[in-house]
Amino acid sequence: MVKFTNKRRWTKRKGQAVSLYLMALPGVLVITIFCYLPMPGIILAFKDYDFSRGVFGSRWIGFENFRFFFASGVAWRLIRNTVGLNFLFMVTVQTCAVIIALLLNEIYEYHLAKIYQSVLFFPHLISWVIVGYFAYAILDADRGLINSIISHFGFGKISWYSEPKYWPAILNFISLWKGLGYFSIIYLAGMVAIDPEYYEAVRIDGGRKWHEMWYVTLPFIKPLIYINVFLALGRIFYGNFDFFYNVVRNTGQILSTTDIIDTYVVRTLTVLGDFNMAAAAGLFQGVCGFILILLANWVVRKIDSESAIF
Amino acid sequence: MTEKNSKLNDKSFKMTIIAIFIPICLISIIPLWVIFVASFTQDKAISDYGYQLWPKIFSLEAYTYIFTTPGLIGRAYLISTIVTVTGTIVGVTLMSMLAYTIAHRNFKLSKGLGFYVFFTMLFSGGVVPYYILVTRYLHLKNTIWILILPLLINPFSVMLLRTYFRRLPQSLFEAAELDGAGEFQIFFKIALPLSKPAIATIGLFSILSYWNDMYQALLFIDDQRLYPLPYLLYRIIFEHNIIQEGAQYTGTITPYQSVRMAMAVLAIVPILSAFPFIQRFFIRGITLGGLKGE
Amino acid sequence: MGLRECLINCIKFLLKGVFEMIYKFTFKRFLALWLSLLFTLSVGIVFTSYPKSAASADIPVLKYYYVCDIALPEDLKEVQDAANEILVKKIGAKIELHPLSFHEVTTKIPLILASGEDADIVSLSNFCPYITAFQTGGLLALDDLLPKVTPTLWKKYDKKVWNAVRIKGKIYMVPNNNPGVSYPGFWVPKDLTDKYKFNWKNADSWEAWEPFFDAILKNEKDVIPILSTQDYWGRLWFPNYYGYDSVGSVSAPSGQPLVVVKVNDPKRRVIAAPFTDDYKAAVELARKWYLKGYFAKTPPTEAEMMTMRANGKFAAFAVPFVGEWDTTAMANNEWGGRTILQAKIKGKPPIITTGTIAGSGNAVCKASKHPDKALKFIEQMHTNAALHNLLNFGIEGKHWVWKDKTRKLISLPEGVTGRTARYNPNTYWQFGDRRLQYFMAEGDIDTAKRVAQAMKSAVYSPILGFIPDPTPVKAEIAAVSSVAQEYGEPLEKGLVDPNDPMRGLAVFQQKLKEAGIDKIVAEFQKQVDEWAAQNLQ
Repeated sequence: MVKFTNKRRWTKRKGQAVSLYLMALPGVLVITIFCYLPMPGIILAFKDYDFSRGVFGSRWIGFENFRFFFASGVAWRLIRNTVGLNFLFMVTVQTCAVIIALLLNEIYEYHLAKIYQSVLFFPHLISWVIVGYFAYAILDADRGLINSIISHFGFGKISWYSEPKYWPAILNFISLWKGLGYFSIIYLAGMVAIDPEYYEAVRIDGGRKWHEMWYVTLPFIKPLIYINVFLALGRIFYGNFDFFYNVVRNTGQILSTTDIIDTYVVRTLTVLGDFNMAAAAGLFQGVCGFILILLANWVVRKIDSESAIF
Repeated sequence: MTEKNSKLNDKSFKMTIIAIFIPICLISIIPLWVIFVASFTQDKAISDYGYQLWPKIFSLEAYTYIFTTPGLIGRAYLISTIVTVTGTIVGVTLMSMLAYTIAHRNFKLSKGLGFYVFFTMLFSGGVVPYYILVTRYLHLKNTIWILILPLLINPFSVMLLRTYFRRLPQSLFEAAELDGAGEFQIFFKIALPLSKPAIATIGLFSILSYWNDMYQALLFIDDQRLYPLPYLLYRIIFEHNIIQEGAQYTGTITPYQSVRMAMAVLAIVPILSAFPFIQRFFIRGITLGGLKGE
Repeated sequence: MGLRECLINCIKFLLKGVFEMIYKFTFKRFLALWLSLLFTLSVGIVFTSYPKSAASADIPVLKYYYVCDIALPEDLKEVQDAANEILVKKIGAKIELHPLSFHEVTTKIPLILASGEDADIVSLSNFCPYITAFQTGGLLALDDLLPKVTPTLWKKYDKKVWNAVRIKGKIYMVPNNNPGVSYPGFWVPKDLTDKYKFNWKNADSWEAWEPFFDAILKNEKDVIPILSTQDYWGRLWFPNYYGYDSVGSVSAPSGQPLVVVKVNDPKRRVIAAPFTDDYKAAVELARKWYLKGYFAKTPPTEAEMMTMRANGKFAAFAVPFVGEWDTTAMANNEWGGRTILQAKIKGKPPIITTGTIAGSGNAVCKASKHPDKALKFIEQMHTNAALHNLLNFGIEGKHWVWKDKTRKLISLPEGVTGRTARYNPNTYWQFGDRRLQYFMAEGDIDTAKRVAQAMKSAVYSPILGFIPDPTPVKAEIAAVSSVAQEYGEPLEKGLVDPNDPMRGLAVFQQKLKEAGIDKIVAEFQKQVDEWAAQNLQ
């Protein structure tokens, strides 16, 4: 009997595994073709590419391609801006998204909730080009909205596009405005699936809204928060190019706080047309992000091993 | 009792919620409204008066301009729709299956696959190798497939889905397994229906990324009959940032600002109309069922 | 269209499959779905592709990538067929036209060249410069081919012209022949200069224009005297105003060159412009004008500027390429139809630079399988009037009609405008020898005469024909470009006070030194001297 069951179990497990392999196969195929096949190309960061000799035959020039980035004297500033601003954005957006999702979850009139949610999502649909126009319309020193209001109340006009110190806050606000709806949907989707029995339990124990949120909702979306933060960390060295390009628009005077790795690389590409340098920068960003992720994963595993990504 | 308490709570809570949401909603809606209004405003008026909440001088010139550009708008809409719909459906299917295998607790490869997917978010080969791969080896240049295939799998979505799947009660799966269900059946009958909000979210993101994608077209599409909508609109506008030195022909003045706004409207409206359909999945309480029997 | 239908049907089938699968999940259906997916994939790859010219076994097809304005020419195929009729007879090959927009060209052509894609001829210009294309390594050296395969073309142009396109001693591009001259000056609506009785013909410096701008400030409420944009425009530093020619293009991405040579310097000394008195003067004047209100306080984007300009919000546009050509087209396209004057600054002679001669051209790709035929095609563009005008204007009768055959004057057919024209590349400079071209506007006919007249007083740059190789100082150029973007641009546009301790001229100069500008200057000087020794007596 035992033998028989074992055999059945074994074939079943094998069958199960086969099904799983099959389920994963198409997706893996797509990723392999479009993401992993070009990846060896990253070696171009160390080469002087000549298509007639192919990727691997081209001349090896070591770290020469990295020189333009590090010898420029602004490398530290670029890294600081990229990582710092990304970190600021991440913290702001994730916190607010969680709060908003919590609030949305509490609204019992579904139609109202639907409306709020859709409306919150609108900014995400607007392309960065248009966002740039609006930013200009609002921040223009002569006719911008803010300056009109300020001068109406008697204060002096501020030339926003000339003062670097305001921009981290301005950019943060814009990033929040655009990302809030997007991320709150993710959290809301997680909250919606929570069994009401848990809330019942808290209420029976005499808890109020805040307790419900703290002891039930938040722990349930903890894994989601982790994954969002994780992914953001992995990409923390990659700035959102469209955002910066269209809103900051390479305005010289504010570059000290707004220039990020990506915009610098693209500017250089425009001037020199050298793709290898762009590859070098990309490699740098990827490696840094990777190290950061490994660190973060190690830390998380120490605290709460369930939530670690790998 | 608790009932009374929660009622009181509800009242003050509701007030707080409204107080917070109204300004946020305003900030979110007004820009969209302004764009909409600007698209129906005479270009000169935008230049003179800036962006307004109501057309200073009403005009259809922006839309006329776009729709009289030798007629590719219709085809672009078609292409975008085909690409978005196909891509989303196929992509969501693939991604959910993949995420399921990564989330599966008894599968050897799950952690490895997770890393495999995740890694692609950190590194990419760069433009040139990608371009070479697609044009010289895959021969996908100027085909509709290049608009669909690369975006099928979004690692971010996969990781999100995996997290959702992980949270589903293990007992369900074990029960099904004991009943003799195969993996596919477990996936389709149990995992998917319970994850409707997650799937809807992923679907939404997929739709967005396909609908707004211009990068693949920029690199690989020369054939105008395959232009997706945002790319076509982009070209129509940027065609006119021309050389300042003597063009050969004289044209009429392009209403630049209002056309850009109209362009934005045309790109956003289809998504907005798809929204209500996705909304259904975000209502609390709908997806419970699970253990209580379906 | 049949292919499209086929594809749509396949996709519908797919969709049905997916829906079914979700509701009646069985393994078999799953397999069926994937097999059909693979099938449609292969069908798609095989069939949905760019329409190729029907190439027969022995007639090679050449792919030509070039720049094209306004949407996507409807009648491209017809024009292509007409061109092929001519070409098959003359050179035994066919052409396949691949027009790209101005924006695409900047990205796509380097990519095509760098990846070794199957292409034969590319058109190079400001939008994809010769140097950038050269650096991809994708251009074919033409020295051997030119005298052998296309002797007519080779002999047609003076040695000076060919020398102007040598990089490291070899020729990689056939320059287009666009005789023209450029002056620093303003494009300004005639109605404004007339209204304020401003005698621009006598204005011999930037400052001489101040009375005009003051009048605008005082009397025209909503009008900004001088146009500026967030990237290129709104500055007074133009090398040709101050008598310099640029060495390579070391600059901020949308800025003016900062490494220059003084035109009347026989020693050809390479200088970093920001350290000269001329630059200081330009920057201080820009600041003065900015404070006065001649420039917008926050420069608008290109798009916003274009609307403003079309609606008369600007009085003048300072540019370094005021020319002799007729402004009707530009006036209608960009200024709302007002007559625009080519108001050059008096007394500044036109400088003939390498850019004047080799500003644009056509090159053969190294990856081309038929380089000799490709070169012959280029030759046809320079010698065959029928082909040249076909590419520029389209088919006679269909896309253009004769207005006055004796004077080579043509116009659009009845009822067709620039926008509704079905073939309208709008690029007079691209397809070879402009002297073969017919004229669209009356004013154009005299242009050649005016240019010839201007050439008499033109000054030739001492480094005419020299193209620097930036490879040894790539990193420094990148760094300088970044510094220029951050400090130089605001200075040149008057947005910052030159004496500002944190962001002024002195700081800019300091940062340039840190970025390695001296190394660039030294390297280019070395190259210039070598080149001079070799090529000149």
